Amino acid sequence: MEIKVLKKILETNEKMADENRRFLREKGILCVNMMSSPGSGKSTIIERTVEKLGDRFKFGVIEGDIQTTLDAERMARLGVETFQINTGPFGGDCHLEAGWIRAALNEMKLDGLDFLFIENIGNLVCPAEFDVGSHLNAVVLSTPEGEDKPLKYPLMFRVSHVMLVNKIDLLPHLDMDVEALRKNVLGVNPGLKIIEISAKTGQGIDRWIELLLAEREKLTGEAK
Amino acid sequence: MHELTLAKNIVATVSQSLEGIKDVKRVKSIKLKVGRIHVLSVDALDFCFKLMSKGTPLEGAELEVQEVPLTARCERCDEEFELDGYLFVCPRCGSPEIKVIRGEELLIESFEIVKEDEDGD
Ligand SMILES: Nc1nc2c(ncn2[C@@H]2O[C@H](COP(=O)(O)OP(=O)(O)OP(=O)(O)O)[C@@H](O)[C@H]2O)c(=O)[nH]1
Ligand SMILES: [Mg+2]
Ligand SMILES: [Zn+2]
Repeated sequence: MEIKVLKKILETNEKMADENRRFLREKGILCVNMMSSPGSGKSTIIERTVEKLGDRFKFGVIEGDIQTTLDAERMARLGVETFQINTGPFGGDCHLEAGWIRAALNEMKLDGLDFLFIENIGNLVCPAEFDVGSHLNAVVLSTPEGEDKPLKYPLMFRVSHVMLVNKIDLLPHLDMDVEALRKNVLGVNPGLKIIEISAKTGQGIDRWIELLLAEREKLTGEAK
Repeated sequence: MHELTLAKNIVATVSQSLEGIKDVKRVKSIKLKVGRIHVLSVDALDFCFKLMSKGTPLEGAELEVQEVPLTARCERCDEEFELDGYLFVCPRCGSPEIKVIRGEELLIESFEIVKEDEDGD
């Protein structure tokens, strides 16, 4: 006997993500999900962003990590509201899920926050599958990783709203073809915004900041 | 390895559907639809499903994974087409304004059960 189901496998996660998104919007907090391969520069970019905007806006960070608290310690040093999720106890999961974000939100001091960064676990596959309830998905691709990544991990570049091409300062030393990268990634997601930055030298960071401020304005305008 | 999470969700969803059905001996097979945009290892999913279904009526069920090609419709010229690789552009008029209609799903379509009074091969 055949029983019809027709349900999304990740339905529970999707519902929870929508709840998180609504909850944060009502609080006027723009939630940014930072995704990338290990070491592309997520933490450094968050640090630069807080340095630039920290005197005008309040930040929170949720750090996803399989084992360590190293990144959370970096964030705490900036004086931002930090919450660490270690996925090790959950079987070393390679992504964050909406339910864990919900649990983190219950623990964090959210009053007065303007931005909440979620630093997802470093890989280009699993985090793309799980909506966490963010308003903005940013994928960081660093120049040493090569121009073919959008073709290998298309879903990541489809679910992202903006791609930060980081470590642009290293270009003179690499064979990376940024034009080919643009072509590849726009084929996968024609609406994607692309910003070339160096979290090290600060190049391009202002364009990223502008985008964040515009997105937050859009969100809080909606909330009113 | 998000296959573990997928397996957990499949077991939970099918178990929930079973609650309303009487005299279920076991689940024989489960049909899944996986759009081509998803990177998924069927072997890993099988392995995780075995792990998660142990001791439940789903133990021993076979996962039938149907891969769904990426299909889209052009919003400008109305052409319906299957995507070549991962190029999200209309092959007829070149417009990037296309709507994906299949190939992004991750669905439990149905499952087959064996009742107490059946053999179910
Ligand atoms: N040259 C150069 N190095 C950078 C840049 N951004 C980050 N790095 C360096 O790259 C290394 C990794 O940066 P992180 O910010 O820790 O990267 P991450 O993505 O947070 O890494 P995980 O959290 O471990 O996945 C560090 O040594 C950074 O100093 C950049 O724009 N240029
Ligand atoms: Mg980091
Ligand atoms: Zn067309």
